[in-house]
Amino acid sequence: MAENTLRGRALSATDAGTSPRARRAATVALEHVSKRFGDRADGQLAVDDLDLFVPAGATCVLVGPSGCGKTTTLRMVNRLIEPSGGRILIDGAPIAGRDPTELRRGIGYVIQQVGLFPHQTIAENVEVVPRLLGWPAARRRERVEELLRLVGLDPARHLRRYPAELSGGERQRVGVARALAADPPLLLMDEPFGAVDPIVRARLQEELLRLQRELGKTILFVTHDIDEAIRMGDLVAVMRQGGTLAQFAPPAELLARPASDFVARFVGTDRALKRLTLRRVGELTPASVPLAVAGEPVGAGRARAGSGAPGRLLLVDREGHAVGWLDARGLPDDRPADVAAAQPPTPLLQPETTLRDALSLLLDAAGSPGIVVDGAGRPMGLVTVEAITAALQDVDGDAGPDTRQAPPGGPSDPSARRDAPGAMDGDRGRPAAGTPLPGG
Amino acid sequence: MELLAQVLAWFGDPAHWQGTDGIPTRVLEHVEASGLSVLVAATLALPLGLAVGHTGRGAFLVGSIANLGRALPSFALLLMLIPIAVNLRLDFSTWPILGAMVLLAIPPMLTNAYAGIRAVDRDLVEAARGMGLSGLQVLLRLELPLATPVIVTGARLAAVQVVATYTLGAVAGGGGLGRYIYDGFATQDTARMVAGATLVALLAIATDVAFGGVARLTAPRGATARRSLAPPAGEPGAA
Repeated sequence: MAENTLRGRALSATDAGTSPRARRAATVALEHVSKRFGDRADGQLAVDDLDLFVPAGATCVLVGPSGCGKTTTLRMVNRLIEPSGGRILIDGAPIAGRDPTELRRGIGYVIQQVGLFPHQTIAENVEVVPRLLGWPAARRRERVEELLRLVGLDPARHLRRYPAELSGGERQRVGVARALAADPPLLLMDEPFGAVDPIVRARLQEELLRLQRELGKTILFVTHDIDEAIRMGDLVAVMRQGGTLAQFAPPAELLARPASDFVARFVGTDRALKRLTLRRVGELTPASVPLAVAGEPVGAGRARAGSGAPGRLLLVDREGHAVGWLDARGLPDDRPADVAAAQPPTPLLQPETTLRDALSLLLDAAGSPGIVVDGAGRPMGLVTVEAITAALQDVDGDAGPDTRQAPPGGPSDPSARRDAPGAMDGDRGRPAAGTPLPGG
Repeated sequence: MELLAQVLAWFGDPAHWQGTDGIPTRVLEHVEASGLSVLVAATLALPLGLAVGHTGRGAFLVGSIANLGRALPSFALLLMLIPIAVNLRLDFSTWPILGAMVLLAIPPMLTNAYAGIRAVDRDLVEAARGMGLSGLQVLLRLELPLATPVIVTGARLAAVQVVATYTLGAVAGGGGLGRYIYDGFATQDTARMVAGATLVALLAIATDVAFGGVARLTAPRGATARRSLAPPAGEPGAA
């Protein structure tokens, strides 16, 4: 899966097993799980013979239209709902025999409405589970401050406040901190960002991805928003009405090869554009760009450009920062390159710019190539519309016949799907050095 | 105007401020009996209301008890309980009125305890359960604190009603402020009757004010809890 490797967010199950941090992540397996509401055998089927395997440290997004059973599925994992059939295993052990409250204390739970206790301070809210687990006060206090910092809140400002005094985004951060309090190996998130505005949602998504890179938890994440699913998931389980699994695959595969018309419709006709959101400019090999240094003769730039003798040179200042395009046609070789004569250096792209944003900028600039600059503004090369479309073709071309793809209409062979995550490569599950979070 | 002067004169008479029929004694009797009735009713109504609210089972029972309690006038209850007390050889000037007062106080406390718990946001309860709080922990740490304003309102209603209605005890020969009204009526002493009614009214108002203080002291902190869960004072939770 070249696309996933490039994305840098994929993971391997073996990787996760050997990393010390990732050992705090749990595998989750659903085997022939079904849920029928109502006592009678002909009651409404909410989840129908669902098989899923989520490797340790992976984020698995359950996505689908209303009534597809995604939330029901999530709530069966912490036994807020009991399955009617099949079994659920966490780290290989069936959860059916465990005490529900004890089980839940080991699983972080975040819901859309956040559910902070309004009569308790932020500190008291975050330490609910540690208190249930009997942690001493000093350890709880330390943990609360650490967690608030982790989710980007200032402990000094927020510890003693009440939920009503916080904004929606801040409350949702506290909700995440609370779910992480006892360092659970598994997080269940039920539309956690569904109730905040789009700008805050994008920021919270970004921060959860950052957190997840640090913590490497296993996350089951429910959403009805396919864009959120693609953004957040290492694996996406698309569910359809009646509680069947329509496809279970990494996002790139889901977009490149939807398993059925239903999945294709659900991911949308713009799935090629969505695939571009999974890739970044830095993953492309930028074309070299002829440079002219401000003040130096134009001929020096032409010489560097070589035989192509291009019409335009990219003008850089003495520190190497891109300052503009210089139209070199008709300029004598000995003329010093002049900043005043240059056109603005647009469009500028950063390595972390998504290909979708890059394409948009390039289209805006009427097809002019984009200048990829590093963090200091020094040019690294050029990216063209053609290079971006070629990047998409690449993946389609080399993927070949796909045995991991679930057959349409609800796959029944769990082993085939279980292979999927292990077949990916990448560095997910390896934490950044020196991450916080002491023992749980 | 003449009556007002007579009532003021009645209050001004030092003889009315001492002895077993003096104002302090009667007020104390009234407060003691009312307080006892409300306490007994609370020990019966609150656990039942909390349990039904928490489990969601037995709402019909709560509704039936509340409606029955509201439909039965205290005076009728008192008259029904007197022969029972006589049969059981109990003091019929004390027990029947206490029984009637307990039955009067149960409905508002029961319905408010139930409604207060049910009014707690189900998402909060769901989040609490999902974090691993046991049923009892959900009730004690989440539902009860958040329902406190509604529960206190129920107790406030019950207490004010009992203080006002305990006056009936005098009919059966009991003490309390009802004595002034009943005896004043019997002896055609209008000033005494009006003075008794005034004292009952004042005591009822004092009770309401006192419970207002309790409500402020026990309200959960955190602004939304207070805003969203406390109904306006004096308004019971929906039955």
